[in-house]
Amino acid sequence: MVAGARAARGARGDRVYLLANHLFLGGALLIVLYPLTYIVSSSLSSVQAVLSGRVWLWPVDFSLDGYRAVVNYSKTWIGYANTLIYTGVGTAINVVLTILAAYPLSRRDMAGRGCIMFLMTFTLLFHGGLIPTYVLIQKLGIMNTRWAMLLPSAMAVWNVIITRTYYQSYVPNELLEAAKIDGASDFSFVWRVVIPLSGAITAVNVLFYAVGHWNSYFPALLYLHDQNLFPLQLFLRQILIINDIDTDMMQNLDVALIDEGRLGLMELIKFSIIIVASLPVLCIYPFVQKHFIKGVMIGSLKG
Amino acid sequence: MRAKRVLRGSGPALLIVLLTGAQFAFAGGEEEGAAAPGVMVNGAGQLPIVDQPYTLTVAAIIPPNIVDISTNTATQWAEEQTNVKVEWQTLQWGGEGRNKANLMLASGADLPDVFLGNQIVRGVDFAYGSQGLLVPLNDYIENESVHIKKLYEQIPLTASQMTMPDGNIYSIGSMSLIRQNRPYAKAWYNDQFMETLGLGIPDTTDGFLELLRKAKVTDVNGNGDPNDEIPFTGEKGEIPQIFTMNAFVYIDGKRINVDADGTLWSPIVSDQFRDGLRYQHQLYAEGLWDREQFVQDQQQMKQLVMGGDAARPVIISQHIKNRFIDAGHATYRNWFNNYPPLQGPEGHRTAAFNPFSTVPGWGAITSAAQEPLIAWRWFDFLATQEAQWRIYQGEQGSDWDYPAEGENSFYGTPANLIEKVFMWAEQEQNRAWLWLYPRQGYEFRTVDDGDPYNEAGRLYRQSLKYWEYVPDEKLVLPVLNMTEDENDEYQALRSEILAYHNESWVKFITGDLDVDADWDDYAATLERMGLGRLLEIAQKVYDRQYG
Repeated sequence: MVAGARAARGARGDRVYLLANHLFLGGALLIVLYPLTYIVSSSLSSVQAVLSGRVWLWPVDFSLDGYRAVVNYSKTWIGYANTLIYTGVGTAINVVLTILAAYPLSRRDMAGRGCIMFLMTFTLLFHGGLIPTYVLIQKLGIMNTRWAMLLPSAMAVWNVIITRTYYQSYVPNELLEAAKIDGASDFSFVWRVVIPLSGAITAVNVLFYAVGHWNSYFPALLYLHDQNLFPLQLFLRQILIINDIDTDMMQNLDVALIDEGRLGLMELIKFSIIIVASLPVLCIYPFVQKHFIKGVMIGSLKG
Repeated sequence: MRAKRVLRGSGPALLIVLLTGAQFAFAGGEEEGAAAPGVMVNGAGQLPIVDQPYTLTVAAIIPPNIVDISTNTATQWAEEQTNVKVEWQTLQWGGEGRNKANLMLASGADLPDVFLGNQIVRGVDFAYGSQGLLVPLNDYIENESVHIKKLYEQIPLTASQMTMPDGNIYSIGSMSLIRQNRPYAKAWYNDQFMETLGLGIPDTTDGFLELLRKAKVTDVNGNGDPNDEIPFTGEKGEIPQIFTMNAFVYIDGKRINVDADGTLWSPIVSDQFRDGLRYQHQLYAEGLWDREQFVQDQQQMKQLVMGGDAARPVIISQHIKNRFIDAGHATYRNWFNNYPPLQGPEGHRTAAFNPFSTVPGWGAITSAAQEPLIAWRWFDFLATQEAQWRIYQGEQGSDWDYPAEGENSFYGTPANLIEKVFMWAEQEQNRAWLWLYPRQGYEFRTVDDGDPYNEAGRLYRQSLKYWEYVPDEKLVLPVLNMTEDENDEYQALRSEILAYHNESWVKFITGDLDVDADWDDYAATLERMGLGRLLEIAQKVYDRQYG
C-alpha cells in the first residue's frame, strides 16, 4: 500500500513535471514560431496592410505582389547566383582544408602538434583587427574579387578542433597500423579509411560551413565594391535598413532627408526577399538537423 | 560564433600588426606617381572638361533603387557632357557604406580618386584631411570653380559651415532648400475631428488644454465609444515635448541656443523651461498626454491611426505625416493639417527650426587622385542647374520637363519643373542618380496644378504656420566643426548630459520627478555633469568658426 501510494505520488510528480515541461517547451515554441509566421504572413499580405500594422498573425489582403517584385528585382538574381557560388566553392575549400589540417593534428606521432594547435587556437581568441585585415586583403591583391569571399575564411579553427577530436575518438590507431603494414601512405589512409569512417563529421563540417557562407555578408561589405559580385545577403540587408533613418538624423541633419528618403516600395519586397533568401536553408535544415546536433555535441563534450 | 567567422582567417594579420604596429595603416600614401603627361584640362565652367577622355575612380554610396550605376543613363549623360568616365566602386547605402569609406581611408592604400555620396565622409573629413589624405578644396572653390563658388556666395554661412578648425574645406556639402521641411517638431490635427469639437484651432496653451479636455470625453471619431480618443500623442522621442515646450522657450534637438550677441546658452536649465514642464505635467496628469507616447514606435503609431475601425489620436506631434499615415491610405489626402505653434502664458511662441541647409561631408577628393583638378571640375559640373535636374529627376521629356513661361509654383514664384515621375518612389530605375551627388541649393519649384490637396504644395502652405514663428537664424546653433580633442571631450560630455536631461524631462512630465521639489537637484546635477564646460567648448568653436 505504502509503496503503491508513493508510486502514485511519484507518478503524479511525473505528470506535473511533464505538464510543466510541455508548457515551457510550448511557450518556447511559440516565441520562436511567432516571428517566423509574422514574416511569412507579411510577405503574403498587401503593403498597405503591413504598413498600417494590420498584419499580426495571418495574411491580410492576400497578395503575391511582394514575390512578383522580388522575382523582377534585378539584384535578386545577381545575389542568388553569387551566393550559390560562394557557398558551393567556399564550402568545398573549407572542408578540404579542414580535413587536411585535422588529420595530421589527430596523429599522436606528429612532431610539434601542441605548438601548432596552440597557434591555431590563439587565432580563435585574438585577431588582427579590421584595418590590418583589410590591408592584408588589399596586399594579397584579392580585393574586389571572388577570392576575397573565399580565402579569408578558408578554414575555421573551431571546425578543425572538432574534426580532430572526432578522428582521435572514432578512428582507432590500430587501423592506421594495419594500413601501414599493407603499405598505405598517409594520403591513401585518409582517403580510403579516415574519410569513409567519418562521414558524420564531414557532414557536420559541410553544414556549418555552408550555412555560414549562406548567411555571411560582412566580408562582402568590406572587400567587394563591384555590385555584380555581391551576395544576396548584402542586397537583402540594404533593403532592410533602408528605412532606418534615426531620429537624431532628423533633427541635426537635413530634415528633407526624411521626406524623400523613404523609398516606399522597398517595403513591398522586404518580407518576401527574407523568405526567398532563407528558403533553401529552411528547406534543407529539417533533414540535416540531427547532424547539426551531433556536431554541437562533439564540440561541447570532447573539444 | 558564425558572425565572427570573418575575422577567424585573420591570423596572419595579427603578425603584421605585431611587427609593424599601427604605423602600417598609412603605408599606401607613397605610391603616388607623377601626373600623366599631356592631360589638358579646359577652363573652369567649360565643357567638355577634358578633350581626351579621362577616367576617375569614384567610391560612392549608391542609392539602392539604381539598377546599375555604370549603365545608368544619367551616368552616360554626364560622361558625354564632360568626357570624364567613371569607374565606380559601390558602397552600401547607409551607415555601412560610410564605415567602409572610413576603413578605406584608415588603411590608406589604393584609395579611389573621389569619395561621393550621402554624408560619406561626414565627421571624418577633418581627421583624414589634416593627415593629408583628402585634398583641401579652398583654392579650387576660389579659383577653379564657376558654379559651386556662385552657390556658396548665394547661400549665407555655407562656407563657414564647411570650414574645419584648420581653416580648410575638405569636402563638398549638401545644400537643400526644401522650405516645407525647415521648421520641424510639428503637430498635426484631423480636420473632421476639429469640426466635431467646434472649438476652432486654439493657439494658446490654455486653449489647447481646453481642446484636449473636450477631445478626451467626445466621440470625435464617431465609432460610438467616447473614451477611445487619444487627445495628444506621437511616436517615442522628443517631438511632442519640443512642440509644446516651444510655447515657453525656444528649444530644438541641439539644446543649445545662440543669444543675439553671439553667446551660447542652454534652455534646459531656464525658468521658462521649468514653467513648460509644469504645463506638460498637467497634460499628462489629466490623462490628455498619451502614456504610450514615450514607448510606442512608428508601427504602433500607424496602428492607432489606420489600424482599427476609427482613428484614435486627435492631435499627433510628428515632423511629417508619412510617419503616422501612409500615402496610400484613403484618408491621407484630406485629413491631417498642421497645428500652429502654441503661444504660452508669457506670450512666447516659437517653432523648432533648422535654418541651415548645409551638411558637409558629401564628397571629397583624395590624395590618390592624379588629376584632382579634373575631379574638382567634375564636381563643379554636377553643381550646375542642368546637371542637378538631370541627376535628380531623370530623363527630360519622359520623367520631367521645363514648364511653360508664366506658370507658377506652390511658393508663388515662377515654376522651374514639371515632375512626371517621382523618382524616389521607383522601386528600380536606371535614369537618375538621386542622392549620389548632393543637392546644391537649387529650389525645385514644381508647377502648382491648382489641386488644393497636392501634397508638396499643401505641405508648404501648411508649414507657413510655422514659418511665421521660426526664430532668426542667428539664434539657432549652426554646425560646429571641432578638432579631435575638442570633439572627444564635447561628445563625452554631451552624451552624458543629454541622457540625464532626456530621462529627467520624461520623469518631470510623468510626475516621477516633481517640478517644484526636484528642480534644483536637476539643475545642480546638470552643472556637475559639465553643462558649463560643454557650453564653453561650443562657444570657443562657434567663435572661431562664425565669430
